[in-house]
Amino acid sequence: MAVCIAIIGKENAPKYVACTEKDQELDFHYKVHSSLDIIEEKLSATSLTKGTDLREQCLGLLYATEEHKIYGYVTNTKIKIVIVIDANHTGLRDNEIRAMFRKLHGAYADAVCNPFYIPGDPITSKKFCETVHGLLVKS
Amino acid sequence: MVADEILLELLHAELVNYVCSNEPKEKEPSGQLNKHCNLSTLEYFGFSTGYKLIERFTKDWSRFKDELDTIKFICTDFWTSIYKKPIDNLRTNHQGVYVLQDRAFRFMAKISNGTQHLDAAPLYIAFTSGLLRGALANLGINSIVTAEVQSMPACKFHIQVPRNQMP
Amino acid sequence: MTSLDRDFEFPAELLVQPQALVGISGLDTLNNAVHRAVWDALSASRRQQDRPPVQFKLLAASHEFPRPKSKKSYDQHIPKGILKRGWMHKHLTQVPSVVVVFCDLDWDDPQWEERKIECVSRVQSLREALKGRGSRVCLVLIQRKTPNPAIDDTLGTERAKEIFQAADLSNKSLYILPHNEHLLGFTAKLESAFYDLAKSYYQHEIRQIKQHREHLNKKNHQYLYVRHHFKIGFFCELRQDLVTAHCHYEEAYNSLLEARLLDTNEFEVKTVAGYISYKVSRVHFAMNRPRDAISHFRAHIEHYRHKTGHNLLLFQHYAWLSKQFSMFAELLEEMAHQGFPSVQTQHPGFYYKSAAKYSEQRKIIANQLCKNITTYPDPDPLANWDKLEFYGQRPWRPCQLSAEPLDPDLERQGILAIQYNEFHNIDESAIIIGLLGNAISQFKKYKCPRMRRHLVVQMADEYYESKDYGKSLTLLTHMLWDYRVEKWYSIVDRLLVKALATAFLSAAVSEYLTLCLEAVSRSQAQDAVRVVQNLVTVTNGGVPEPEANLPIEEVASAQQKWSCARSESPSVVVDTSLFVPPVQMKATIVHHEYNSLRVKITVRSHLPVPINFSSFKVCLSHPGSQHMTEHAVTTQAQTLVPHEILTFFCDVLPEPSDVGKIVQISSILLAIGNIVGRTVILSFNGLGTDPNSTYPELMFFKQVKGEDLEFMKVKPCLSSVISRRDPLVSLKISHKSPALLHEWYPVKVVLENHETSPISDAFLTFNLAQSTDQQASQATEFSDLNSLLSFPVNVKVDLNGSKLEKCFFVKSENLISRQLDVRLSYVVEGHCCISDTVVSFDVIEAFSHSSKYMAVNYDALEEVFTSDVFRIENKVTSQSPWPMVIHSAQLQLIENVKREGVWCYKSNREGLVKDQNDQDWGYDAEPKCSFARVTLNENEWAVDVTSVRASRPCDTSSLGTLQLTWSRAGAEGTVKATASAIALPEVRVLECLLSMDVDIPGNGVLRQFYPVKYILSNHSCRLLVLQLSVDPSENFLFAGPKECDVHLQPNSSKEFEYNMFPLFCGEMKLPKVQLKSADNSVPHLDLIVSRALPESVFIFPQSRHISEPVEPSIPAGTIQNDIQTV
Repeated sequence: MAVCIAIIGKENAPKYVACTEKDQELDFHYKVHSSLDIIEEKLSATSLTKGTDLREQCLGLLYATEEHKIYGYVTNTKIKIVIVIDANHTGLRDNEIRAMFRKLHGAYADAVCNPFYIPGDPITSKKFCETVHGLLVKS
Repeated sequence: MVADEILLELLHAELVNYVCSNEPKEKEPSGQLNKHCNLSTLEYFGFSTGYKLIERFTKDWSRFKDELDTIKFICTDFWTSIYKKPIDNLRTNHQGVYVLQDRAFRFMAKISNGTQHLDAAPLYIAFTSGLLRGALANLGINSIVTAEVQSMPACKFHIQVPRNQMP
Repeated sequence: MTSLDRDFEFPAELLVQPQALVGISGLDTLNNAVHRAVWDALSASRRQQDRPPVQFKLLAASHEFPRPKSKKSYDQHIPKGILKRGWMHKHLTQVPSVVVVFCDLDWDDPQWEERKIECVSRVQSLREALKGRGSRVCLVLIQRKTPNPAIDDTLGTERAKEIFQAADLSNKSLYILPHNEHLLGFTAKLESAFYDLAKSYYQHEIRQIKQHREHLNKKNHQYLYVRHHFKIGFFCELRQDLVTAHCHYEEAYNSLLEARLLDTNEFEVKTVAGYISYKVSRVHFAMNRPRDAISHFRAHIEHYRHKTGHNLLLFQHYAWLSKQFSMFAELLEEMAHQGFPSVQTQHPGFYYKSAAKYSEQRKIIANQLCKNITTYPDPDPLANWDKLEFYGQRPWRPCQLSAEPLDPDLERQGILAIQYNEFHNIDESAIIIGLLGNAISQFKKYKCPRMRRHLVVQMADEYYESKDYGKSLTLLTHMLWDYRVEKWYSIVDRLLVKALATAFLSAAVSEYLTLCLEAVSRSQAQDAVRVVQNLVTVTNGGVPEPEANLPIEEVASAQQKWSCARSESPSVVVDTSLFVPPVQMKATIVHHEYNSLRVKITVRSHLPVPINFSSFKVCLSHPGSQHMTEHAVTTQAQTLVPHEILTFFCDVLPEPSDVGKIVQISSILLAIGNIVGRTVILSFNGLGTDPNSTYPELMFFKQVKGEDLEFMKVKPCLSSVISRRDPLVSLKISHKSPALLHEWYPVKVVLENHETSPISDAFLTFNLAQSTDQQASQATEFSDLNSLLSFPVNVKVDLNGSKLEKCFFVKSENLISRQLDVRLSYVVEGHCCISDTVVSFDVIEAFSHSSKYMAVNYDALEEVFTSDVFRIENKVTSQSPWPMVIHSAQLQLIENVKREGVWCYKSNREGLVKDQNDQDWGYDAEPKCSFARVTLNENEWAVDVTSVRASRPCDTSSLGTLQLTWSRAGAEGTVKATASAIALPEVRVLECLLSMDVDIPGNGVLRQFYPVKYILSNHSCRLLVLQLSVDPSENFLFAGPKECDVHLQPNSSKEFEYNMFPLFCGEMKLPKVQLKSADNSVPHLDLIVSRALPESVFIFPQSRHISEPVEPSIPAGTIQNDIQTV
């Protein structure tokens, strides 16, 4: 399962970042932040080609390092969801990743409708946190 | 009509009444329904609702191709979900101006046809103007939405997208 | 990279695409121009794509080639290493595949025999020098004559045969190079011939090596398998046979994988494996298989990643890994230049990044392993490093076979030497920074700005490690900006801590102060207090407390620097709009009058402690002018109390010149400290920075309370127009719209002065409104009573009295509505007052006019005749809603048209000639136009009829103008009359040869004689022969010539008298008169008659008492001019 999950806002500011290893938190932040390069490139590429099949919300694998695989997802409202998977965790199938993204998107949509949430702010809802932590690998 | 379908209409009507009655009294001392009250409160309610609502509505949609694609979504699925019917007519000049016509706008469906309450029309379209603007804003389209009613219950919404921004 | 990092350098000859070496002999390029040209043609433009991949080398006549080694038997031979260091270099530059001997020799050379022998001897001596090598030798004869293939050149064939027999050359090794203008074409052909020879040479070499293989056995000769395959691969590359080359390199690489790794050979195997792997990847790329290249590289790394080698030299393993990555990155970069598309997720930057990462590990490990090494061993175990025979061997045990036991002492010394070098002579940080730099530029190129940023941060860290705080700080401040923009505060906070430490260590005052201000808002409460205290200490000229976790020795030297550190400028200005500042400020212009400008400043401090400021200023700017003014905020309190909402005011007396203009708050400056070089000025834009205000609309969502809400409610107002003093002089304008076309339209200005102080410089300004179109502005005139003025009209007025009236006139020459801006400006008590108003009016036609020409009988005329009296009727209809007066009117006729006198009542006219019959009638010889002094109301009209006679014929033209002066009726003296000239319609004046007059009484009486006289006058100078006939009529009986021939002498008249006897009463038509010309020489006869005859005459019934006719017989053509009123 995931070692890091991040929700990133329209203007690329982080709204929520959670990871399993507290001591590597900063490293994950850098990684997630760097993955925005590829997301942005993919978004601009779609707008150029206008291929219908390229407009899926799930962007798939963004890039892989020796330790991690990083997957991306973009909503219609330009909210980006990034999931970091341990590279050694090879058993994960594509549709499992998709399912995680859908679950996160649902949780986000709920969080936005929370009357105590201000869109654009970092997410602090406990309910949302629980959903995310449910998807993080337990170690 | 099933009762739950009218719930939104009733709630909206009460919202209008509430906003009007909360206006400062010194502006309209006559005590009657204040038809010239500051519409921005209603518009803001709409914006806030639209902004939050669209997150949910577009959840299962593939990403929109362009601005027109987005507006089409607004006219069909979005509109139907809220108003139980799609927009009847969409026009655009392809320069960022879109005119959405609803010949039987739901929030005015129970008001007499024609011009009897025409002066109150702005009250009943402010929320929806805001709703459109909020939904589009969250989809990355900053716009100006105005509405025009010539004879109830037909209504036209004008969406104007300044051209210097990317769709 | 330092030169001491030599163990990892890749040999230069490995990095190039090998090319077949061809030796050139016998060319004297210094003294012989032809030779020079040949050499240039061969060696120049080597980089062209279509040229064969051949490297030419110019050989001196006495050139010596490396001697081939004598072949030993493989049975006993045990290789002492894998790849020889000199081998590639030897085959690339020293052992030519082909040697070409150039000779100047024509077939018909007179000294053929001698030259031939010389030539042959040169070939033979070369062959001697190359003994033992399979290098091909060939001969090129440079000839002046171009051979003609069409002619059977028996001499040539014969002598060529002679030569290659003598020199023992095959006939394929003799070439003729005719020296002419097609030199380049011939050399190109030669080149490909040489290349073919070279290929066959290398093929031969490959075969040689393959033959050895039979003698090899896996047990003893594992290295030779590697070496041989490598050599074959290299030769294949030289002959550009990449597929085979790749097979052999791959074989070589795989053979090496089989080698057992021991301490003795580990370094050598890894070094050589790196080289061969590089070759494999390179050939993959050359064969357009980048994916294979990359996967080979990955497998290579994967295989050797854990072969760490000697524990004490572990850093060398990481250095090796780093080198593998950086060389592959360079290869990939080189290939990208050659057009291999790299993508965002697969580009050289990633490999440089990994290289940097391994170098970093190398550094860490080296520091652990080598920090205690202080002495370099003697004798130097590394002394002969550059004389080693094989790649990757240790200098202290060259050629030592892996099976042999090691000398532990020597080994220890060697390791010590390497460790010493690593720690003392190698700057790993520089290597890391260099690699990061390469990576950064690649990431930038492949559109990965954020990945690049992360690398820059790493670079900053590395600079920090290497104690280059200045560079580190510069990079960190840039990155802070980038991460802050995207609100990645987790990263920002970490960078802030680092940057603050760096700024402290480098005693950079301005950066330190700026960073402190940002760090305050981003720190936890306790830390924030510390940061603020440091800030205050610095502004007081002191030395700040060091940041946490700094090396002690660095802190001491930093504190030293701090004691005298000053910022470059006297004070450090910090733009607070760039980050979330600890103090927020909103400015509102509350008054903006001519005599008082007041700015309210609302301040909210989030600093953890109260802080004193030294000055507080508002900067005002005035758009349009450059000058900027600073104004101090008046306040007793000099302390910013945290969390409360503080309000300050700044009062400014505006300059008179700024009144009426926009004033803008450009910044608000709050200074802390007042020591030069230690002062920080916080510059605010006055909008109150809201950290999350990307979408202003979303702020509605925000639920705030208390001070936050109060602060949020303050609406900033940063610019305003300084309003003028209200004028106490009233400006009133009266005018009666609409204006009439061409009229001097009166505009009356009334000024009433209620000012108590004297007024100076009072001006009235008139101008057409901005929106007035060109047509209207061109057709508008302006004047006062005396003179014409031009727009913009600026009239000085004297406002010393209490009231002033002035009249102006506007003349509009077309019907467009006009708008006039009227402005009164004056100065009182030093302030300029202005009052503006607008005069707008429509323009309409004043009157309409129509004219027509009539005969004496009032029939309309299309044409008129000379010597004939005709009439001009002018009709003027007023369209003005206001009564208008025609002051004077005159009919200005052209020179050949003269006015006729009229008979009229005496009472109507002055100075008439008296009639002898009647006292009341008179003859007016020069009648005036009757329009004069007529007043017309709306839609009223006036008619004037004038009798005239033309003296000469003329073509169609206007007969003159009607000139009117008029104005609207009203106050005398303030009216300016308008002169209008109206052209009369055009008409043609025809020559009149014959005219007819009728002399009849005004009316007749039933059954009483009615005398009628027709007078025919001939105006021409010839005889006219006419026939006159009078038709019978039922209205009249008549006596007189009914039909007669008339002979009219030139310039004479004849009268024909008839006595008519009316039979009926009423309007009666006279009997019809007809004139005919005998010879048709007179035109318009009918017209002449019909003009002369009255339509009808009135016959009264008989009365009992017959009296005299009431009216005298007055000449036809007079009618009393009248003014009709509707």
